Amino acid sequence: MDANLSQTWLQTVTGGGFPLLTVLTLLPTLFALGSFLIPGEQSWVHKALGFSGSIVVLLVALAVFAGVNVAVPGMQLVDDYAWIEAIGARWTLGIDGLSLPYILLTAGLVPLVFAGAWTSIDKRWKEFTIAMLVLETGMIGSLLATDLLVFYVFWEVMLVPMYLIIGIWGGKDRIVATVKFFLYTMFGSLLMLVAILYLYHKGSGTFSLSALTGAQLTDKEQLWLFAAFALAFLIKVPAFPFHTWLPDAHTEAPTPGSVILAGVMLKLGTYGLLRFAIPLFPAAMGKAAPLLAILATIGIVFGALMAYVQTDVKRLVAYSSVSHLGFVLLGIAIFNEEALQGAILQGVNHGLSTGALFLLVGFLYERRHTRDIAEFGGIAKRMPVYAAFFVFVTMSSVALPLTNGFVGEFLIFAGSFKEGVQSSILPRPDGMVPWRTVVLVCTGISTLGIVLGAVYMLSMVRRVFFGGITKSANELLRDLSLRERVIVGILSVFIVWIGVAPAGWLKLSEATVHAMVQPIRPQIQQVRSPADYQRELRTATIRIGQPVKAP
Amino acid sequence: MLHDLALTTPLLILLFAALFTLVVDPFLPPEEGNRRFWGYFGAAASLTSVLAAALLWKFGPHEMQTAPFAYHLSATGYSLFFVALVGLCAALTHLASPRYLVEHGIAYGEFYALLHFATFGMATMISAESLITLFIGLEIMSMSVYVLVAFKRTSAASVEAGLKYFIMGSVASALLLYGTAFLYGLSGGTSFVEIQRALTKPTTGNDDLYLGLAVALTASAFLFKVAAAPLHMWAPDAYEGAPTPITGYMASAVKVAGFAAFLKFLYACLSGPAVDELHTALPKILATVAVLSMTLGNLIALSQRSAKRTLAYSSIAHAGYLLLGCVAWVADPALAGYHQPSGAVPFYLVGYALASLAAFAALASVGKGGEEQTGEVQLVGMGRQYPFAGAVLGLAMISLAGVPPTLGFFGKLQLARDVLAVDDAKYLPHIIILVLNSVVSAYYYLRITVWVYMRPEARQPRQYLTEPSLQWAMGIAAAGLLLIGLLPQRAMNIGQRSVAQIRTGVALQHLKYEFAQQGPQKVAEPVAVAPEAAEAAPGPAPAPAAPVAQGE
Repeated sequence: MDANLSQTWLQTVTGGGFPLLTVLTLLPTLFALGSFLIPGEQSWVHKALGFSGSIVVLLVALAVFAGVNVAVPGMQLVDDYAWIEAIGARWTLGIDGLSLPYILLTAGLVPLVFAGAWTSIDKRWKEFTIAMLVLETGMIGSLLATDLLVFYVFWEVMLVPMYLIIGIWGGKDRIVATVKFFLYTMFGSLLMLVAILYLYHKGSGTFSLSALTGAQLTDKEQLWLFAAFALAFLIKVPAFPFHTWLPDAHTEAPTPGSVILAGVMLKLGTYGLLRFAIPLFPAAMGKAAPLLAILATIGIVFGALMAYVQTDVKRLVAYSSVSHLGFVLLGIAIFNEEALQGAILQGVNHGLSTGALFLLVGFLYERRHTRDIAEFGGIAKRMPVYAAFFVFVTMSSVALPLTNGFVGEFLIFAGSFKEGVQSSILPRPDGMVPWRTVVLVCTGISTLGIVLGAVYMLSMVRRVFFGGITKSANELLRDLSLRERVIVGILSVFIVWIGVAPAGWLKLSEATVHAMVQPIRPQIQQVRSPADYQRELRTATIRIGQPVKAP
Repeated sequence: MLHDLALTTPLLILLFAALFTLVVDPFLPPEEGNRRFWGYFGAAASLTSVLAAALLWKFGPHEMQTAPFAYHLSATGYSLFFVALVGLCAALTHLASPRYLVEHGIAYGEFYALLHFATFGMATMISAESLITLFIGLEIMSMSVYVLVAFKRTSAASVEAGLKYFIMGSVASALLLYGTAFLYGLSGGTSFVEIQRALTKPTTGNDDLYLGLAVALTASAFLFKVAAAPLHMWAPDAYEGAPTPITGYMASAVKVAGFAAFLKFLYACLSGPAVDELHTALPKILATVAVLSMTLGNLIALSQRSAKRTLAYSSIAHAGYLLLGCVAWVADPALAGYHQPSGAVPFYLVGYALASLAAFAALASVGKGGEEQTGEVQLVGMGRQYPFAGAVLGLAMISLAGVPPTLGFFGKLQLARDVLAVDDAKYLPHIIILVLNSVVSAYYYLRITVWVYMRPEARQPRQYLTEPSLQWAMGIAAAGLLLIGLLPQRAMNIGQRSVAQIRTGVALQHLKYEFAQQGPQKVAEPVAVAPEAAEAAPGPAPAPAAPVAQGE
């Protein structure tokens, strides 16, 4: 099978008209420039500029949404301009079902973050506005880029604003945390840059993703290049052994920083795996999939256990992110349609529910200036609305049915059980990694991870909200203001919406995932399990939820 | 004659500016305003020189026509590009200096005259087409810079730095002269053209040894000037002791001139069959020095407590990155086959020079009241109390660390790309070391931004120099870092074009002549080899048959 021709999901579908995606990408920076030119004395100007600017960006993102036909796979609304011809880099942006959900999530979260920061950021609003808007450009650009160099540039552009946000507005140990964050991420991404350059030389001098997917590479080259890409993305996710920067960064970051970090930036790691690492090196992915699945499972259990023993609410939520992203990673490692759909949706879910949790924790911190669980207890009596929202978001986080978390995790497990069961029918070929065993064991353990999730979240909720009020400082707590209620309310609406009616949301990425799995999965399977692959070709038409067609 | 003089306009402008400053300054009353005037005058003169170079570039290429010029100076695209870059560095240094000098009690007109002389020396060194001119240029530059480093006469550190630099620099000059003597002995000439013509004939016997010695000696002198390990010992002390604008000048202009002259020397002088063996060894040697230099520079920089000294070690590390870029240049088949060399080094130098100038201009604004310290205490709170300088310093650090979308990133990108292209990724390990070094270096660059932005501030606000000219210097450098960073296409093309024009017309004509002579030999060689090759591998056999078939 010619790998290059079959990658229809990377081919251009529409484009060449109005450069809507370029506008969407650069608009936040334009507002940042406006903020840069206005003197910094009056913070309300910058607050207003940041908020209204991000609302405008959201409107443009909705216009993009309206312009995308989600039923068709492939790159849409493509912008393709000359950028650095001297080295063959082009300014190419495109959107498809893989990036669309995250674009909407990003554009939607930033205005909420500005609203949430209204009182929590108490100094240097000008700098904050600039950093947040540049960060938005970086995130949107990384999601839209279809040229490896453009992607890399935006990927690194995200780094500096987040470094400043944690370092300037963060907590007590912010400097250690932010430097750690910067160095970890930079380490991974620079090795990725070397891999990109190597690929560039192998692929006859272009950075274009669709052109490079067909590059002729030996197995050894694929493996090393995949390792370099995967390292960069796994650090960002963060997967188990590379996660140590995350609790520090999350805990020390100001609330807006935590929300963006959890809501969007972590998802860019999994997005990068799906968009770049796996399509470029499918054979290497075939070899690495068992390892990814194992790392994901360790992350799920380890994150949950670590979360359980935390005494700081925010640190607890941070470790819960490690656990939740483990589910997403598991779905990617499985790489069939159900699991991928679940992984993409679970990314959005995590952005919504963990974003909401960080905002709520931030609201409490503004009132009490502590996040120590032992400092609270019984505050549901003083803050009933707050407690209601918190418990609701917790339910979404522990994947209660009818909330969004359930849909995502169910799809991931449906996909991975299917994979495990299907690949256990035939005997294993010799010398291969026992993929079937890995999948079944990992899925089984991960399912337990959901239970562990309920354990640490609910025990935290009990200790913070219920029982008698033990600390006198908690007697005077104000309940949520209207602004705060609106912010969390908006997030809650989406939590319920996705939980009750997920079909529309799943449709966003359905066509793309289908077109992506078709050419790539066989290449993974050939490496992973030749016998399974043969069998799967025969039963390719059997899909969950569809009638069995005659072959 | 007049035509050739016109082609040296950029150099002459610098020289006359120096002389004018020296002659007129004693007659001006010693008022502060007059002292500061020379800064603006110097910037204007340097920029005029840049403009002259740009016009020559635009309406060129022009060739020197008379022998006295043609064998000693050139106005090729390569020379003009680097003359313009050095002129720009000088202009920004002139702008950064006046207020600093007044504040430190060393506001003398000689300072600006020396700066002009140094720039003139660099321009000569870059334009040189013979080893003698090169040496004269290098000495004019070095002598002026020695004095500039020691210009704070009342400060022991400054004088010590100047003396150290002088003594060690003299050794380097001696090495260069010694190497020149060997080359003269081998070739019978001192101009690049003559040497190269001599080297087009294969060497016999001991010549290889002497050639190796000559290259080793001359290369050491250049490596000393660009502060590459293990010849870097002078740099930290000299950088720290020198007045801050001069440190910026040394980090940018001196390094630019050193690399420009070194590369031209390697390319225009040392190429040809005689040095074939050398060219298999030279890339390896340079790559080793590069790795040593970047690793040593970065590791020692980690433990520094003063921003100035940190940047001194960082400049050693950057010399290492640039030397790796030179590997792409030297290991290129270009040297043997006369193709176009890589334009990565000129482009990287633009980014590095601008970032250094921006950083040291920002650091110069800290030194209120004769204070020379640039440690944590002095920098904390800068981002709030003097946001402009803080932002410029931060941007310069980000660029030096190589984070997009600044110019520093694209410099590293193009450099890594060109080095990877050599011999099918033969230097991949070196690139990985470079990348790991970048991560290490990010730590100390970040530390400076942490001081500027994130540490809690002291009670009483500090005083900063808020002179318009200093702000212009910072602003121009920072704007260059960002704007060229966002749209690097044009600058990359200019860099590429400059290296494409590295040889003068005279040299090309000579080479053509040599190759015309060598023509029969070159053809004869494959014929002699052909039977063996045909026996060894039957694969190529059909190829010779093709013309026969065509003939029928």
